[in-house]
Amino acid sequence: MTPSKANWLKKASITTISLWLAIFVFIPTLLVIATSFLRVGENNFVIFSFTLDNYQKILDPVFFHVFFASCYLALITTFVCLLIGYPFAYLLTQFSPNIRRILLLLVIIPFWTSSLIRIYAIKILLLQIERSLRFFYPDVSILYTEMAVLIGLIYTMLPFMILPLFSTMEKLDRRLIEAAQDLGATPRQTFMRIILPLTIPGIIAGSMLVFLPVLGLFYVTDLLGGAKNIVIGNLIKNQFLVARNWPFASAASVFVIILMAMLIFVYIKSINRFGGSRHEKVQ
Amino acid sequence: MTQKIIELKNVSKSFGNDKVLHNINLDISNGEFLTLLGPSGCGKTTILRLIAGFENPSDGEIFLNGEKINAIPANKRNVCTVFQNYALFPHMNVFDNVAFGLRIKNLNAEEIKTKVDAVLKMVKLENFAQRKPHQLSGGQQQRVAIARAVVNDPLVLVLDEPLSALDYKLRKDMQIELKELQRRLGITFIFVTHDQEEALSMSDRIVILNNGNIEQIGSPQQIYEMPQSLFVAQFIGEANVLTGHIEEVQDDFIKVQIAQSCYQFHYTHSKLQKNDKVNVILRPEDLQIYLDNAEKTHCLSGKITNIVYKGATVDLRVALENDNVVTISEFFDDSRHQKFVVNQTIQIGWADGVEVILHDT
Amino acid sequence: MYKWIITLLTLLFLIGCDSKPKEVLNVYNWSEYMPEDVIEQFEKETGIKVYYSTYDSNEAMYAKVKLLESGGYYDIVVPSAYFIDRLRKEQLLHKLDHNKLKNWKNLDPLFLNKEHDPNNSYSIPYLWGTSGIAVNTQRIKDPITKWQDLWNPKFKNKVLLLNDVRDTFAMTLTLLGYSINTKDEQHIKEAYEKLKELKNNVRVFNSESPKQPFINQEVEIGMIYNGEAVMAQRENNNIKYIYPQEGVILWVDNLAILKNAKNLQNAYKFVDFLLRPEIAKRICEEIGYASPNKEAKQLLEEKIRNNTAIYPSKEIIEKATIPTDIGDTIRIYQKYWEKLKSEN
Ligand SMILES: Nc1ncnc2c1ncn2[C@@H]1O[C@H](COP(=O)(O)OP(=O)(O)OP(=O)(O)O)[C@@H](O)[C@H]1O
Ligand SMILES: [Mg+2]
Repeated sequence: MTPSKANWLKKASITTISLWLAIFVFIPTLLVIATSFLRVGENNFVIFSFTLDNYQKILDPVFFHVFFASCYLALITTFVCLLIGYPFAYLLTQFSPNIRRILLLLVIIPFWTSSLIRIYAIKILLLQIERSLRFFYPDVSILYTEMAVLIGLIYTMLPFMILPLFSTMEKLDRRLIEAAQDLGATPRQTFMRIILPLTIPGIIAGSMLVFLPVLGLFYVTDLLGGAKNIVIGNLIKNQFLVARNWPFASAASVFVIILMAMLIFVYIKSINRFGGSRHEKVQ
Repeated sequence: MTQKIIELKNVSKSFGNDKVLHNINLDISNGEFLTLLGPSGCGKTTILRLIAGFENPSDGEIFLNGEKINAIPANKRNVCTVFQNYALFPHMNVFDNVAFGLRIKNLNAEEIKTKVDAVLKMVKLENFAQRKPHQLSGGQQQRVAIARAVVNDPLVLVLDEPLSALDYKLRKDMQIELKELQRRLGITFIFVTHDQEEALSMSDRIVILNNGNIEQIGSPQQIYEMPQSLFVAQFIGEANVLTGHIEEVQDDFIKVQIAQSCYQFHYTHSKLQKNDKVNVILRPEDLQIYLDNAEKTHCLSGKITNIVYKGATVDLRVALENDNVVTISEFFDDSRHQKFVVNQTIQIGWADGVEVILHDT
Repeated sequence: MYKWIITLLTLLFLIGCDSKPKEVLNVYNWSEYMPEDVIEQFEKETGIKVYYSTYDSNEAMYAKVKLLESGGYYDIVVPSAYFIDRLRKEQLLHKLDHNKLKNWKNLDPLFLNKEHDPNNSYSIPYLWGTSGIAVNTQRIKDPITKWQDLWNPKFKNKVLLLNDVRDTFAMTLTLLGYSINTKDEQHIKEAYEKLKELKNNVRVFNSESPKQPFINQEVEIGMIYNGEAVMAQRENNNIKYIYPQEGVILWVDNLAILKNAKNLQNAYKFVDFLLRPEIAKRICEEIGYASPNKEAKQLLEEKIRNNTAIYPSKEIIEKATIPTDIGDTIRIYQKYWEKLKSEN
C-alpha cells in the first residue's frame, strides 16, 4: 500500500471510530446525564425544567436496598470468581504452550454461544440436579434460590476473571519467583510478596470485568432466581419502561456510570502503581 | 584458601533424556573467585542452578560447607544469586529490593536500615534508594542486584553472566568493581561469563566446560599457557595449531615432523611415543618474524596473506608451505611493519618452550 | 476496491428503492401474534405490501410510538386495553369510522364498549384471554376455587406468580375487593402487604412463559394466562385452569390505527380483512387465544369452542374486569413492586 493510501485509510478509520463513539456512546451518555436533571411528565416523558429530585430519590430506601443487594451479589460473584479463577489461571500458566493454547480455547469456547442460552442450559441442569436430590431430601430447592443465581453468575463471569489473570501471570517473570526463593522466601512468602502484588493489575482488571456487568445481568436473577429479587439492571429497565420515569432511571444510570468510572480510575491508578513499565529495562 | 566451601561429587544432570552434565567433580575453596567458562549450552547455568538449589542433581552429591545440600530447597541455602537480567522486583524500590532478604529473616527495621544503607553505600547507590528499578540504568540495576544478594551475608554468591547486558566500557568498570568487592567481602564468587577476557582478568580459577564435561580447571595463567586440550587452547585466546607426528623421543627432548620440516622441542614427560600424532599450539604473540635468513631452531616459512591493523598490535596472517595458516600478533611498530606487504615470503620462529604439545586423540 | 463497494452499495440502494411498491402498510405487533400466511393472503388480495415489525411489551411499543409520533412510521399497533386507554387519552389514535368496516358486525358485543374505550371509537378487539389459576391436580388434591387459596401455607415454595406488576396487583386487589384500576395508594399498599405474605409461597415470577414451570413441575399452583394453561394442559393433563371466585382478570389486545398513519385506507382494509370470520378463526387457532369475533367462534372445532379454559361462560366474562390506564399511578405500583421484590 502506498503511504498516501495508508494515510487515507488511517484517517478514515479514525474518523469512523470517533463518529461511532460520538453517536453511540458520547451523545447517548450526555442525553442520559441531561435527562437525569429533568422533571418527569405525565403525557411527555420529561418536562424541561431543572431539578435535583431524581438524585435525591436515589437515597430512597428501596433504591438503596436494590443497589446494595446488587453490589452484594456482584461482590460475592467477583470474590468466588477470583477464588476459582486465580488458581485456575495459575495452573494454566504451568502447562506447555501448546496445551495452554488448547485449554485457553476451552475457556473461551462458551463465548461462542449466547450467555442467555447458556443460562437456560444451567437452569435445566439445576432442575435435574434438584430432582435427583429430591429422592433423598424432598424439601431441597436449588433452582430459584440465591445459590442458583450465584452459580449462574459465577459460571457466566468466570472467563472474564480468568483471561486477564492469565495474561498477567503469563507475563510474570519466573526469575522473580526464583529470586525471592533465593533470598530465603518460603513459597507462601513468595506468593504474598511477589506473585500477588505483581498480579494485582490482573486481579483488578478481572474483578472489574466481573463486578460491573453483574450489576446489569438481570436475566440471570430473572431466570435462575425466579425473578424474586431485582438487581439494579432490572430497576433501571423497569423505571424506563414500566414506570416511564425517565429522569429517575437516568439518575440511577448516572449513579452506576459514576461508580464504574471510579472503579476504572482505581484500575488505571493501580496499573501505574504496580505494573509500572515492568518490562521496560529487561532485555 | 584451603577450606572447601562447595563440593560437587560426580554430579550429573539430565532433562528428560537429555544429559546436560556428566559426572562433574568440582571443589571450590572459601573466598575464591571461580569462573565457569564455556560455549553456549555447555551447562554453566545448570551448575549454578544446582548450587543455588533451583534444580536437583540427577546423580551425585553437592556439599555446602561440608553439609550435603541435595535435598535442601533454595530458600534454605545460604547461597545468593545475581541473575543474568538482575530479576529485580519491579514493584519495589531499590531499598525494598535490597531489604527483601532481611525482611524475610524478620530482622527489625532499624537493623535492616543500617545494613541496607551500608550495602547501598558500598555499591554507590545511596542516593537511589527510593527509585524503582525501571528508573535506573543497566549498571545501576546490576549493582542493586549485587547489593540485594550480598546484604544477606551469603557463604557463596553465584553470578550468571552479570555483566553481559552492559556495554563494553561499563563492563570493564564493573569488572574491576566486582573484583574489588569480592576481595573486600571475602565471599566466594561463582561467576559465569561468555567473555574469556573477563574470565582471565577476574578469576582466581577458571573451569572450562564443554558439552557438560569439565575440560580443565586452573588459574588463568595455567589455562592460557598450559591448555590441556585442543578445545581449551582454541577456546581461550587465539591458537595456531600445527599438526604433525613424533619422529623421535629422547630423555629431554622430542622431535616432531611438521610438514616437510622436523623440529626439536624440550619435552620431559613420558606420555608421547614415536609416531604419535600431536598438535603443536603456538599463541600468535609468541610467534616472531625473522627478516634475516639466519638459521633458527624453530623456523617456518610462508607467505603473508593479510595484514590487520589493530591499534596497539598488528595481526599478520601467514600461509605456510603445508597450507596451514597461522596468525602472528606483534606490537605495532610503524617503521618495522611498513616493510611487510601481502604475498611477501617471510620466516617465522618462536622462543624455545613457548609451544604446547598435545597428544592428538 | 472502494469503487466496487460504492457501486455495490448504490446498486443495493437502487434495488431497495425500485422494489418499493406504491401501496404499503406498516404494522407494529407483538412478536408471534399473527400468522404469516394471513399477511401473505392480504398482500395477495390487495397488492398492498405489509411491513411487519414486532415488540415484546406494551411499554416498549408505547415508547417507540410516542417518540416517533410525528414520523408516521407505523399505521397499526396492537396494544392491550390499558394502553389503548392511554394512547387514546394522549390523542395518538385515529378515531375510527365504523362504516368503513363492513365486518364490524362480527364482533361479540360482550367485548365492545368497555371502560378503556367507550363505543370503541379507537380500537377493535383482536384477541382476548383471562388470567386465572392453574393447578397441578396430581400434586394438589385440595379443591382450589379462589385466589386466596394461593396463600395457603401448605403451598410454601410451590406457587407461581406472573412477573408483571399490573397482573399481580390486579389479582390481589380483586381478592381484597378493590378495583383493579385503583389509584388509591392505600389500596395499593394493602395489596402490597397482602402480597408480602404470599412471597414465602412464591417459587418463581414468570410472565414470559408461565406454562413452563408447570410443565417442568417446578411449581404446583399459580397465576397463569388461560392460553398458557391450555398449552400446559396438552403436555400434562393434570394441569387444570380455574376461574377464581373473586373474579378473573380479563385482558384484550386491540387493533388500533395511529393518528399519524400515512396509509389510512390500507389500514382500514387490513382491519376489515382481519375481522373476516375465517381469518379471525385462523388467527385464533394458530395463536391459541380466544377471538372476540362471534362468527369466527362458530367456525371453530367444537372441542375448542367448548373448552371453558379458552371460552369461559358469559357470567365469568361479565364479572371479569379489564385493566385500564392508571396514568402516573403506575409509579406507585412500581414502587411497591420493587419493594416487594427487594425485601426478603
Ligand atoms: N529446563 C530445561 N529443560 C531442558 N533442557 C534444559 C533446561 N535447562 C537447560 N537445558 C539444556 O541444558 C543445556 C545446558 O544449559 P545451560 O543453560 O546450563 O547452558 P549455559 O552454559 O548456561 O549456556 P549459555 O551460555 O547459553 O547461557 C542446554 O543444552 C539446554 O538446552
Ligand atoms: Mg546460561
